[in-house]
Amino acid sequence: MTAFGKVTAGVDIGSRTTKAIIWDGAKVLCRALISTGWTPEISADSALRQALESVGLKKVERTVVTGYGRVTASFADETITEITAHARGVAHLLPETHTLIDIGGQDSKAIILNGDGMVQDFAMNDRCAAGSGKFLEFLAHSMGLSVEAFSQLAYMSRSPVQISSICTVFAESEVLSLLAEGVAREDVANGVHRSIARRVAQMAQSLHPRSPAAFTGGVALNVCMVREMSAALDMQIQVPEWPEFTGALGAAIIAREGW
Amino acid sequence: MPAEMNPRERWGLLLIDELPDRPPVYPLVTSHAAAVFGCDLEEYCSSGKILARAQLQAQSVYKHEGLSVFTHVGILAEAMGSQYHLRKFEVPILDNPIITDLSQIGDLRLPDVQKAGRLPVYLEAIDYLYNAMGDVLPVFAFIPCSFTTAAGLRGTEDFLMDTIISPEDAHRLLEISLTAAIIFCDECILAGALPVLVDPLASGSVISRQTYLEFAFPYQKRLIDYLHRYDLDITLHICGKTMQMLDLIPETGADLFSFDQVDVQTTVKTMGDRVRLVGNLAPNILLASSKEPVDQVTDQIILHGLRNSKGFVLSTGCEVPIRCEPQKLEIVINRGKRAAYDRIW
Amino acid sequence: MKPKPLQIDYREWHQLFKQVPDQQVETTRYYRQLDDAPWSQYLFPPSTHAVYGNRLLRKLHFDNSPAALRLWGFVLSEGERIFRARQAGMKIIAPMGDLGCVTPLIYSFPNTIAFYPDCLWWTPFLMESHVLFDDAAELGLGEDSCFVRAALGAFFKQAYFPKPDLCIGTVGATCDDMAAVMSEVDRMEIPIYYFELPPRSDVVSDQTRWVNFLGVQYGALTSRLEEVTGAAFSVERFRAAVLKVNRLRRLIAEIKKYAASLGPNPMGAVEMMNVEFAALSYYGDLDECVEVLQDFKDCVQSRAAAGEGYRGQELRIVWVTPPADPLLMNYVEELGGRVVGSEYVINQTTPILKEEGDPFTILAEAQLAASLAGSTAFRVKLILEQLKSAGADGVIISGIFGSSHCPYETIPIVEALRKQNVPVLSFDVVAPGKMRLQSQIYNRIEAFMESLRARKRRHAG
Repeated sequence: MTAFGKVTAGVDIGSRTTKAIIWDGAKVLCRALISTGWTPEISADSALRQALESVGLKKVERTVVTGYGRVTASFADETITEITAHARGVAHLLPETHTLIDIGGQDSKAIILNGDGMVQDFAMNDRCAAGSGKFLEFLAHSMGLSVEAFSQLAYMSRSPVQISSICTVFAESEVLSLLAEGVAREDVANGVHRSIARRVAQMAQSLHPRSPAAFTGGVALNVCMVREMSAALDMQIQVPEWPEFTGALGAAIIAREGW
Repeated sequence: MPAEMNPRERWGLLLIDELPDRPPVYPLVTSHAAAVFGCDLEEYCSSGKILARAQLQAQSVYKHEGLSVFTHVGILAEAMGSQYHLRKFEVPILDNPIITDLSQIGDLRLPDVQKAGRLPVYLEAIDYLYNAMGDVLPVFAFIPCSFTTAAGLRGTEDFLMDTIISPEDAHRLLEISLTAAIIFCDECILAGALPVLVDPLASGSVISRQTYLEFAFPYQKRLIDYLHRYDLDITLHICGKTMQMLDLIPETGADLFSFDQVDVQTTVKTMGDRVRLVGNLAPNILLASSKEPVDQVTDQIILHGLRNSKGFVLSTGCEVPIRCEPQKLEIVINRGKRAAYDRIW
Repeated sequence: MKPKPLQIDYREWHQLFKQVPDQQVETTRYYRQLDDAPWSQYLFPPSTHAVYGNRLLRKLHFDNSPAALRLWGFVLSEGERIFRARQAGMKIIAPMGDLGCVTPLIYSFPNTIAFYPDCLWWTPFLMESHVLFDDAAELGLGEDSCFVRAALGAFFKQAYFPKPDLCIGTVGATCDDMAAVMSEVDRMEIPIYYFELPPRSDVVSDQTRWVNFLGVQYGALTSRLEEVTGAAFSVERFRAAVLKVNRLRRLIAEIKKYAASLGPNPMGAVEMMNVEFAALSYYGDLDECVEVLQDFKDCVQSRAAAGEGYRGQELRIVWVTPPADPLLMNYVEELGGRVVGSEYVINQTTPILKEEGDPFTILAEAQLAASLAGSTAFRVKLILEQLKSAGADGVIISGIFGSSHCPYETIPIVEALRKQNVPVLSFDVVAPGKMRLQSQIYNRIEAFMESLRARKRRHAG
């Protein structure tokens, strides 16, 4: 116990970034985000330490770790999958959520919640980059833009082109040839977003998604992607505050409250 | 007509008394792998990863049909305290045996197989090779029998004297050597290798038939019995001259006998219906200086070896010399690969 | 030797094996009619088979009972056994794609055994090797077909089983990819006799017609078996075989019942799968197979009676479509689950055969109980029945990418189960050696198990 009461931590070791949250049962005391790099165990440790230092704590009651690198975290009291972590996180942030879309750096997931914060069903695309943040990043870079600039440019488009390639490498050459043909950059950029959104939505359709829907993970910060995701699912989508921390928050809540 | 088999399949059939498409070709490429890989023997014998990578490199060059994990015959004696001297281009030699006085036998301890001496080198190499190629190539671990280990613990000459002057002490040394061999065999098996038992000091070039019967044979047999309980097919390799104890070899229970300086026809005649034979090109023929026609000698071995009703593996009588001339070894291997049971020329 | 039930690895079995009495090792043999042939022992630990290239055994977990050791030893020695059968002068028949229907007939002939080439599909997984797949690809069956293509590689090599005296190919409602294997085998000049399975539809309304149809086929097959074995069909021998097969089938049913027991789990999922697959061809030795299963049944029965079993496996799973990769079942167990039921599309091996009456009618009637002969809805019904009777928490369906049979069915089965509010996880089994994909499957199973656990706790709460 500390001045904050029973405090727990949640760490989400993603393929691109590692997120840590300190939670006191009512509010998030602190968030930390660092690049995962090549050594997830070190990144996780740094993220947690950074978060703890910023609130002047040395340790917490329990730490639950999630994300693809969870097995590397020796300090974890428990590890859980991203599915469970995101579900619990979004159930706290947006309790009405029935359908949850999470697009991370390396994969995408559709999760159906039963209204009680419990996972009823899920589907994952973890086999190829198409449908993940990596695809977006790769194509942004091939157009010489940061992901943020790519997203903003795409948001300006009113007539996106269709990108038919789902393989990252083929998609890049398709993008480049469209640009060479003189297609507007914003329309190409929006086409890339739409292609991802449709892929993810297609995966989600098998689970019979219903409103309300939420969108978490780092890619949910991308306004164009939110718009396209909403269109592809044909439903309004809510994005929680700090969507990239949803998994870490879920882990921290589970660390405190159990399953 | 069935498709060409891979070495694992070929050996597998041979060991269940079936005829593979042709006999396996398995020259004892051990330290020579270091030369192929471009490292010296100190490095080769000190790192499992280097040993394994050298083996893989040599196999990719020669395409022979088995991977061999072997550093030196004193591997167990060294792990129990004897000091061996590594050399860059020659096999390690015994510097200081651990038992200088027979009263020290009681102080001998079994080796910690995960840590002692060069044993971890073996285990790392086996694991590496098994993971890399274990589905298509068998991995063989060369493990010394009691007689050879006891000689390494005591020094060869002293141990030979012990067998005459103090046979009880000799047996005590042999017993602990046997236990060491058993526990190390277990680890090698778990790492993925089939043990090949080597007992060069029990060769007819070193000891008499009587000494063999009394001090080597019983321990070879017990070790093989132990491994047979696990249903493993065991090769016994004795270098040098084994003519004088040839009739005793099948009694050890060995499933395969890797022989050296004995005539193939005689060996086939003596034990061919009971034991699969592995042999026996003389390693010195593979040296550049040798004038013997390697192709003709190989053909003769194949010609007689294939008549062994229990099966035959074309091999060398002992380790391929480190300075083997690669073209000569290639000739041997290629001749072997042309051999077939229905095509004895 | 009666250790407390545990799942142990190959290393632990290697040590534990030292405690198995010599006499038990010495006397556990197959083909007992050959009076202890020197090669017929088979009670050996997984480490032995690992040395000979079955690399997956170094990762799997095994039950620690002598009965499980015997089961594993018997299963893993099947390849050698078939070669030994040939050496001992037995006739070797290889039914393919029939899923155990014609096997009782084969064992009615003297000195004749059957083995099931389709089961070679797990060999690449056991060996963690692409060798057999590469061989199959060389003959035209590539990654777009089911893992049973490994059987084609094995026929091509003749190093995994000898050339059979007769193959029985199946046409009609059989696995399309196995049919492709058969057609290639046909070109290898291996004698093959085709047997037509009923079409894949609900057949109940037309039972008599199909019984007659199958009866005629069994008659023709019998003539062919008479030619190959040189022995006349004998009703007495058929009845004797039926009695043994029925004993075997009853044992499997009983063992399966214990897998679903309410107490701690008395057996591993992979052992249970090995038991169920015994029904296909009895691993090449009907007599010994019955004894192996009897031993295993006695073991799990006594555990169940004593309330003994593995700890920490509270989530109850029904497994649909057998996984070629047995490691996946270990994952479920590692993550706190147990397999309490299964639907492996081999239900035609489960009915007790009539012990009186016309032999061909007996076989035909039993065959018509097959889920392959039924609709997808029929399979769903079987799954739901097991789910209910075993009190299962969820269903795992392990599909096979490229297979023309199971994956097509996976989607409607998943849909039907979801409609019934049954938690279900489906994935395609990953070919050996693809570690990244394998870890993703592990992640999915883990997420599924977490969701089941959360659901269970909420319900309990």
